[in-house]
Amino acid sequence: MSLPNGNTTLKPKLLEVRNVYRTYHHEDTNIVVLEDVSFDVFENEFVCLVGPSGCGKSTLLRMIVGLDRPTKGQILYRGQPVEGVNAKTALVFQNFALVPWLTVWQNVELGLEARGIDKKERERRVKYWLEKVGLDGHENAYPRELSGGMKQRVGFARALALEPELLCMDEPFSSLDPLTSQNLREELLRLWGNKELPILAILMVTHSIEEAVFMSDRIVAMSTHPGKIIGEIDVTLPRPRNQRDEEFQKIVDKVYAIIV
Amino acid sequence: MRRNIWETLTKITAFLLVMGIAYFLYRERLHFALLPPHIPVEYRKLPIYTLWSLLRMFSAYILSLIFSYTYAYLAATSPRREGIMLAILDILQSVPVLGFFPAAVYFFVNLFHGSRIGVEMAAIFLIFTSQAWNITFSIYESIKTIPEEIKEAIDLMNISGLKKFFILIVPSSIPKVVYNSMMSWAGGWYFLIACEIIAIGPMNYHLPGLGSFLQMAVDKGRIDLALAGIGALVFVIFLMYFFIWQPLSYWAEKFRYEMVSSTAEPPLTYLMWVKIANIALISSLLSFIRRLISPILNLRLKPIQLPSSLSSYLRLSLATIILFLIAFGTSLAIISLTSSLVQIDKAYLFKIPAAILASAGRIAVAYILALLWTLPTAVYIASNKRRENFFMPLIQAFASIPAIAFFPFIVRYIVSITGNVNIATILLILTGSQWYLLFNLIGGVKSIPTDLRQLSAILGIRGFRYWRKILLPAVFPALITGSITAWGGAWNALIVAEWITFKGKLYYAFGIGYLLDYATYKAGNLALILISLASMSLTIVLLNKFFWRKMYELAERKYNFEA
Repeated sequence: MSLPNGNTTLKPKLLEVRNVYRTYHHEDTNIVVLEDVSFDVFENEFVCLVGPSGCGKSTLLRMIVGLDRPTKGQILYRGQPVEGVNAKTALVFQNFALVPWLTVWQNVELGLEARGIDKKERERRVKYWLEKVGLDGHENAYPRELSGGMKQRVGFARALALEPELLCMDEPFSSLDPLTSQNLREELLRLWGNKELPILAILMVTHSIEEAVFMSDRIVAMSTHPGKIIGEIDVTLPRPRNQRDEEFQKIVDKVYAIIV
Repeated sequence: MRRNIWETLTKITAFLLVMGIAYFLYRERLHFALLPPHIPVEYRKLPIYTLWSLLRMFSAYILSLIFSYTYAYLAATSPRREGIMLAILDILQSVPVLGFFPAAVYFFVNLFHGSRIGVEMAAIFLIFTSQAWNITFSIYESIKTIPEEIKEAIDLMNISGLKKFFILIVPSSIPKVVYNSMMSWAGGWYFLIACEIIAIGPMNYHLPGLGSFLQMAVDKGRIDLALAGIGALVFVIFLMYFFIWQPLSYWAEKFRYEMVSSTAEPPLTYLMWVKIANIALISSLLSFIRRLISPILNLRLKPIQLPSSLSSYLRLSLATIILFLIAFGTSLAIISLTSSLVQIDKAYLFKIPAAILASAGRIAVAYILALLWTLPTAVYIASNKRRENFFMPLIQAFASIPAIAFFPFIVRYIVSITGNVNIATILLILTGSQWYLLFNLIGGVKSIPTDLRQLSAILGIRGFRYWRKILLPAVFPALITGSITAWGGAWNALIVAEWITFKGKLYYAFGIGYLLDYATYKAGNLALILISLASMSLTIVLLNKFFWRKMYELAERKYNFEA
């Protein structure tokens, strides 16, 4: 395969959101949730969508994984329009979305079963990912017996076991306490940095600017009513990052200035 | 362990108390002859009969509300009262009230010296017993689940007495009370028609109303009149649903503690009521009423300061009286039950287990039939918001149409032609219990969190796998709650369904309902009445305790989203 101009440093584009609108109909009025939203996600990128609550970023994420459709505009994955659930993506939920009557093991296995993956391979993957997220020994526990942090570890294992190309996360740390969430963040970054994850890119939604600067390579900032993109900031700080660095604070201030 | 024993003891005491009351009521014989009023069956009489039926329903409902708030408040505010009051309520809920109807008629007719008021009272009492218990339970639950912080805030503002009752207790209970009132009215219509239709043994007394109108129209072979009667009933039920229950349900949502912004649109009738309340004359009238009431609410009811010795003396004597009454009731029950066991013809005694089994079999068949159609229907309706908005009002209105209104038709066209009572019996049980299942299942399907639905979509869990892994476990708690109510309704329906008289001819299906009716209407055998009633109630209570309760605990423990 030959590329035009032989530019091999150009990263392949994974996701393309093109002029997306989303409106809801309520009591004879149209509420515009998203207005003319466009951005891209390339391979090997960690992108954060940042904005105040109610700016439609979760709605956008659900359209990207194929749970919802834009009212107008297009979402392309590897150049193809997203029609229905995109099997190359996986979603980590804010409130974990674990099935209460299934054990940790069964929760992770559920999606693999549905994809028709054979038993041996299922067992290998579940075992591997439970160990990776630090849940070995808890295979037979039920979600209610786990702490919040451990529940979200199950959530990560379930998403990663599907070995998606694009991992989508909807405020995955916001229902955890500060210490637990910082731990999990660092662990995820370690796995991502060591190339231990099968995924090609991560797209995370958050309302915490510090979290976005701490984790991502690029921040897509959104405004609310209606949800619009108001700026993109590249974060080129070396990892691991330190929240107390002057450079770190500068970027945080810059994003604040754009959003508020 | 000790707590368990204590609970069992209170349950047994409560059971015996209710049996004591049954004995006390059934011992009465009619001392007065009843002159059946002349009830002409004509088209132009229909509005009057409808009004009579409505009047009975409203009286019973108001009685239920007063009883429920008082009883629930007393039970929820003192741990000492709580145990026994809940046990009694639980027994009352499981006892087949229709079995008490003849007894209640005897009692009230004697009380009012044979005037029609006595029969009216008995009818209202019967409807009351079908409406009150679930409302009471819902108020009790509402009081118990008021968030602690809100209670503390109210106490810190120094709000107490009647004001606290109206500012905290009543609003907190509104969402559940409105929902349960709807259920109660549906159940109430069933009993209203039942008590107007049932001829009380040899008395053959009809109260003027829709039920008796239906019965007599079919008796006379005037199908046109009977259809008109059903039409009037359906009309009233739909009017009530669209003009009262639907706007009330919307309004009740405002009183929930969960801070979820509702996206539901107000029904047109709700907007209509808002407009009416804003008309100058009416709004000034409303504020006048409010001004009249507010001083009463602000009234500080200072507890009367009695000398402490006197107040403790009073409390002690009150407790003694209550304990004495309980002891009296239970011993009466024990004596009457044992003497009945001694007196009763042993042939009857051996028939009872077979009768209970036969009845339970009929209920099981009806239950399975109900499950077969309600589960897919619930999934179909609840999985789509637009579908739900369209079907729910219709279903709620249809569920309120008492199946028993079709009773005369069923008898005329199924029983008297095929000669088979079983089909009619199962049909009656089915129509009396299926709605409880459907409503609870719809609620269950709706309670599946959006996250879990989206997860299933993302993971590609569909079809059979979705039913097995997500849907069935998710609706399991609702299925159990629905089943408990459905079985309760079914036991009650047995009493009407296993003993059918039509044009002077008796059709029956052998079962516990049949035995009870036979003892009441044919044999006049007090011992058999009491033993049938007791064994039927005992079966229900034991089934609840050892089967449904266990299932419910399993549902709470394993199939619960709040983890």
